[in-house]
Amino acid sequence: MPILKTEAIVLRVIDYSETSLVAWSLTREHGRLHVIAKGARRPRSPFEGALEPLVRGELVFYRKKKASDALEIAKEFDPIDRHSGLRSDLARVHRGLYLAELALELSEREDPAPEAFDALARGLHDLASGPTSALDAALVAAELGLLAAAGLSPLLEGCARCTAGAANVSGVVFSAAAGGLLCDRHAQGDPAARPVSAGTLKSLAALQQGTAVALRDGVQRDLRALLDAFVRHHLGKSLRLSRYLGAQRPVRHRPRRSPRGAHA
Amino acid sequence: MYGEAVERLIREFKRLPGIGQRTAERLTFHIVQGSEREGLALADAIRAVKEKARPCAECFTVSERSPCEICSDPRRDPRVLCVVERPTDVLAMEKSGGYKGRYHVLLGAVNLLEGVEPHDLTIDALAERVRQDDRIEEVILATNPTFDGDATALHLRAALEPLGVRMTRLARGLPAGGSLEFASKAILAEALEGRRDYQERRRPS
Ligand SMILES: [Zn+2]
Ligand SMILES: [Zn+2]
Repeated sequence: MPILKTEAIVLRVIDYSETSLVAWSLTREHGRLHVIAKGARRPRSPFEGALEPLVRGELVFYRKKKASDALEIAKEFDPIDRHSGLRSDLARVHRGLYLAELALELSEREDPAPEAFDALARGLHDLASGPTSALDAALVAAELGLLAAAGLSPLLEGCARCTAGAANVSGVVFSAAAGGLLCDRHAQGDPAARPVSAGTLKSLAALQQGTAVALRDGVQRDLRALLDAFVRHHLGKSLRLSRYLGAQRPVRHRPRRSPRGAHA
Repeated sequence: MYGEAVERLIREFKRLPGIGQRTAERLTFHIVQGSEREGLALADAIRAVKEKARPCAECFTVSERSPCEICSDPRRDPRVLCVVERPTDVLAMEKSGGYKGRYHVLLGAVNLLEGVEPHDLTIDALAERVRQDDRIEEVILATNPTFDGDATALHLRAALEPLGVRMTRLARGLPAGGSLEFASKAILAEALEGRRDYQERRRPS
């Protein structure tokens, strides 16, 4: 059994038994990697506290040369970046988990994923340490990176269905089904066609090219709706975390029965 | 191949957490080969627990009475509420002997990737309890020091913040009696993040 070493970002952790965990992670060389970490749930294990979602680290594992769906056996996991800033508020946690869920959906076992790994690593780093105002831009940039790595970039130059330009009389139109912008003629028969504002398109194009932009509220909402439709079309389902990317769950602001300290 | 009754017991064991086919078979054959008294005692114990034990209406821990022994004990401090993930955590806290307040059991931790959402837990009931009971001054968020436990604490904070109650989180880091040399990187990092001021406290003269 050869011993291998790779950088990995943990996407998902499953309690496997009283003492063991199964972790799914993304790696450059091996794509999605499924390992079992025996004894990881014991107090004094070599994995103690490190094998958790969204942690980037160096994974040492044994490769089993048997069934291709077998679990590899993790030997050590040494954290490089725990992204602890991600755990400081729900907006960061949810955006980090959204990227993990997208990476889970788009990755394959044993399919090298260097671009996806780098997009995810940069996204998690920015979500953990960036200012609150830049979280949504960081999310979209990383999301576009993961999609591009899977060959799913939204087409933003010209019509996605023909050679015509996409700037036309009815304004710019985007279709998740076509995978990009549409000319007038093709926009006609496409039930998925939606108008997209110039500001949203500009931000999307800039983020796709890796340029940092500040997203205004309206643009951020439009971008989110556009990308949700795009991801839903390509995966055939909505991501679980997509419902958690908007404003936080509204909390009922009912006061307590009596004001604090007012009752004797 | 072993007959319907045996297959059925194997199936039932397999539904339990952490039990796979092989363990389920081993447990089943242990019971098949053991004495009748032993096997039926297990069946009786399961029946009794399902008939008598239920979640406490106030704190959701498992008990044979509701409110449970702790909720109905007048000596427990009503000003402090300790929020834990599971009934077994109540047991652990009680064994420590250092806690005299009351509890609230969430019945799990938020794990959105696996489909466990905040409303699947008893968070709404907790907020209602804090809102109704104005003796509660402090809520200790004692969810596990894991990714899910931390995320759950954030959901609790969002739900309780508008109520103006004081919230605290259990300290984490180096185990007492351990040494830096043998602590894992993750635990050392957490201990460093959670460091506290160490100036001598001066009493006002
Ligand atoms: Zn066209
Ligand atoms: Zn109770």
